Amino acid sequence: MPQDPQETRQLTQGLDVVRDLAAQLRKVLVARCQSSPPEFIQRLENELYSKVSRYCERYSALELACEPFCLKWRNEIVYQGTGAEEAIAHVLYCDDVMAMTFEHGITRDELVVFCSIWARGVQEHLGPTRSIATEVWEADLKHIRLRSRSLFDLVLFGDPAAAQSLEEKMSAFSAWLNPAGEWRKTRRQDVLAHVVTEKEDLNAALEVHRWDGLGGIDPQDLQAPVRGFDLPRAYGDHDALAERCARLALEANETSNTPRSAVAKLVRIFWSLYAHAFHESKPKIQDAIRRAFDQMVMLGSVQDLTDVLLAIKQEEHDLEAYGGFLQYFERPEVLNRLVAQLDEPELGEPLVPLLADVATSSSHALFPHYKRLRTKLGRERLTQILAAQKPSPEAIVTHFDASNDANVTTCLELAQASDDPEAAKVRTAVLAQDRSELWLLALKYMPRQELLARKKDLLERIPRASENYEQYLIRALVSEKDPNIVPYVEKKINTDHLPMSERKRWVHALAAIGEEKSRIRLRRILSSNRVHLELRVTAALILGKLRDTESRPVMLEITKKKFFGNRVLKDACNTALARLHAGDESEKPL
Amino acid sequence: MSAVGPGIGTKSQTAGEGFGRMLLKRLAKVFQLALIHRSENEALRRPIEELWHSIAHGKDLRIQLVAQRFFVDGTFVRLNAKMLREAEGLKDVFRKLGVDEMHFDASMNEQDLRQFFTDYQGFATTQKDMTRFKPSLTKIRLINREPGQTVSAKDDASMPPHERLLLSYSKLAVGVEHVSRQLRNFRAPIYVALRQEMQNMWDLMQDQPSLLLGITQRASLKRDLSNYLTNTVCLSLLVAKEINCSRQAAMYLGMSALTHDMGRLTLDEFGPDQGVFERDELRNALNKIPFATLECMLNQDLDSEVMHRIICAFETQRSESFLKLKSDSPRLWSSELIAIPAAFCRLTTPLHGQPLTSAQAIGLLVKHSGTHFDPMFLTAFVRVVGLYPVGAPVLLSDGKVGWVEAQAKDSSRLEDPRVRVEPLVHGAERGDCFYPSERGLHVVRALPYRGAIATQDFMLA
Repeated sequence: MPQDPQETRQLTQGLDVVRDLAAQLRKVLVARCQSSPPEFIQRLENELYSKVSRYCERYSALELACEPFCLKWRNEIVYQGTGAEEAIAHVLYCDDVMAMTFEHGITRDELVVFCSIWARGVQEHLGPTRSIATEVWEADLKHIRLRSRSLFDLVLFGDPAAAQSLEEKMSAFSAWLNPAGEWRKTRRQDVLAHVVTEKEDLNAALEVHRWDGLGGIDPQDLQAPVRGFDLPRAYGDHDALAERCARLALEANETSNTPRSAVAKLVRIFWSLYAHAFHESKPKIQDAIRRAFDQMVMLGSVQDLTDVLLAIKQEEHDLEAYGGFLQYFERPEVLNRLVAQLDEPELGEPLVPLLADVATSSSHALFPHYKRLRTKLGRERLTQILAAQKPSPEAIVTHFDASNDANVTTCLELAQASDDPEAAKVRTAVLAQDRSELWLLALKYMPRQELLARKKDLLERIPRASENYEQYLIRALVSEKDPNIVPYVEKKINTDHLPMSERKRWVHALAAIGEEKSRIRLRRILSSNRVHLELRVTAALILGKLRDTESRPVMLEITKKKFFGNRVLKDACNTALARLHAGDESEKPL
Repeated sequence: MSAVGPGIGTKSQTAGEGFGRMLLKRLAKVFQLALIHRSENEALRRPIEELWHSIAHGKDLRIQLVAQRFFVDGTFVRLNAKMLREAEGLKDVFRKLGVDEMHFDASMNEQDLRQFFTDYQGFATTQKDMTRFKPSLTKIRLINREPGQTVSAKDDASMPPHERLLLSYSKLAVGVEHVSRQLRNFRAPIYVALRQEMQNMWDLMQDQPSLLLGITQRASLKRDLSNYLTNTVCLSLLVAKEINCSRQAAMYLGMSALTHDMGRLTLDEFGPDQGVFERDELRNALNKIPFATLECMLNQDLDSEVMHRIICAFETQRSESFLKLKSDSPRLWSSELIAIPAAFCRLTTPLHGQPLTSAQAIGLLVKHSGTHFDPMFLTAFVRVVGLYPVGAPVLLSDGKVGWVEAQAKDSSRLEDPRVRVEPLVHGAERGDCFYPSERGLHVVRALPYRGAIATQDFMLA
């Protein structure tokens, strides 16, 4: 402690200044850790810079000692904080930083960089191969210095063999140089070891080097003598060099922040290893792939994984090997983890093409996941995945659950997407259920060809089926222009207890069939007095639209009759005749 | 032992640190509570049980406090804010007990642990001098190393610069060995220590690049895998300096160079007792290297940096940049750079076959410039290394062996480096240094090392 009162006063005043400064440091770090607005952080940093630079200008340097939970200045605690928000000193202490010094000439940028590193340290974002001391050194801050212990001691303390090895190496290497740092005389045996080299068999040596990763070398490469003036000594293109340096710097900077671009390369490495590996080493590689994929998925790189795997698939022809490469995704624990993400709008999207590529054998494992998915989107995605895998109809039927309409729909969708002729088994399974709602679903997902083939069976279900089923079936048959449906439709038209609107629809349906048989029926409706007037009007208008010239006599006859009450029908026939006439005019040659 | 094994699946970096922290935290808590409660007390029963679960793994466990840092079974425990208070408390306990190591025997059971804390509690409440505390059981030992027994790093502050550079080189080489040992034992290497040492190396080599180059060439004469990797690191750093890389980029290159071929060190085939290979055996063994490297790196969490190093390792080892199979694939510039010193070191070091001379290796690299190696980085490398690197042996036209002392700055005199010829006079310390051309001599060729090579090919040659 200072004895002189003046010194004591100076110390007290200094303490206040440094305490204020340390408190400002904390504010900056806390603001950075809490991701406060940039303007706010900037303002705090400006204040801090102003305080630090003013201090350094006056006293040339400010040194703060780092201890657990506190910073000290001249052995006096100037900052102490242990709580979650106050603790800033511990990271320096944990990283073996003993003291930090701010020197005169410090710039604002240096202080900002230092604070950002420190804040990342507080948040434990530095990574296992870095520390605050190493980061600050790499940031090359001219006026901020950290005094830290050598971390290499950690190697020696943890590994006695390392300490012994260091002793041995140092004693061997020290013999090379004299105290002035000049090379000592080389031992005779070392000289001799180099002199006798006349019998070199370079071809044998080159072969070993070729095996050892340098596959591009050739014996002819060594034939020509190497001359000094052939060697590149000048850069020539300085811009190209500067560009390379800039790219290296960018790579170094981005490596710690963006793993995305690395995923594709890593997967390609695995693929090249897997595709060219010997049979016996494949299990080991698969184990490595499993762990690497695990970690990539955890890193959230599913999109990159998908992109690169699909690209590999397009490039490669050995689909069997590719299928083996994707075995990782067939593992139940992986499927559990990934399929659960299908519910997530963004996360789940890249999973669809990824899982769709996985071998069909995993489709059995995927069906039970329908129950786990919470959203419709998730279930739709799972259906897309399964559809792409083209599961066998037997597999679909195995997972068919009549009590779950969503499951039935999915099974029918999968069967519809399948080009397997046996897919009809799935619809048969649905139709075998005693629920007309399911029959309707089956109809909706039934190919037209199959619908026509099953027509009799389907029509016979109508008495037991719901109205929707009946309507859907007839509409489908009508739209298929099935002539055999005409009598059925006619029967519907003639059913008195049906509402008129529906009976009219059936008249339209009759027209939609479009065959001669249906026109004959329409003419019969038009000419028959026993048929309801509204139906006759509808038939007249339809026949007009169809330009049915054979109905012209009937229409003319109706228009000429003078019975009261047929005005509506007369008008309809006139309209139809006008249409027929217009049709005739347009067909006349000019 | 192979580098590929079941244990590799653990994320040892994070998991190891997490275990160490948890163990220390529990131990500190029990010591704290043991001052207040007896071990049978409910308040202490549960913490002891938790501690027991942390310790009982069927093998001995050591907790060391060295230079104010905790090590669990020789692995450094990086403290964090959440447990710093407990760790400081534990340090205090170690200090009061006057010990720097606690050893828990594999045969210790939970009852023994309770007994230990009962003893501790009894002693702490009755005695002032805790240094006299001796546990009644031999299964838990408190060890106090004598000051001389404590391993400590050399204090390099007082050393001359060249010795500091030598020490730094030695530390890196030892660090490489340590990393390979840790990886073989499925433990997380302390990369942060090596990163810091690389920074130290960078500072030291700024004023003595020639000396560092000489050290690498001298070290490459012997078959030593750790020297080979260290040389790759040093040459990469020298090239980084030559092209004015930032410190951050230089360390990025250094770390990538350090790990790019780590698999070679962990394979049994290439261990210290490497035998003579049959041709096919050698080829098979060499084929394992890239995969072994991959395994080493997967030993850690796949964070972006590890991922980058794996890619860099493969592209350098498999010489993707050397072969340029897919010229349109995006380039990884660090591996483009590292591929050059890595290829040079592999060609000139007696690893598994007879090495080429430095000049032959340089000529080979230059021949593939542009098509296989990046011309700009290669130019930088040649500017650093020259035709006859400092420290390399050369054969002079008068039949004597000279050692290159310094390169000619002038590119037209690359073939005329300053050499040192060793004196024949008994007891003379320094050789005769001169430019060969000054004495009407010239360098005939560079000489390779003929030392211990473990391949049949070379022995036949």
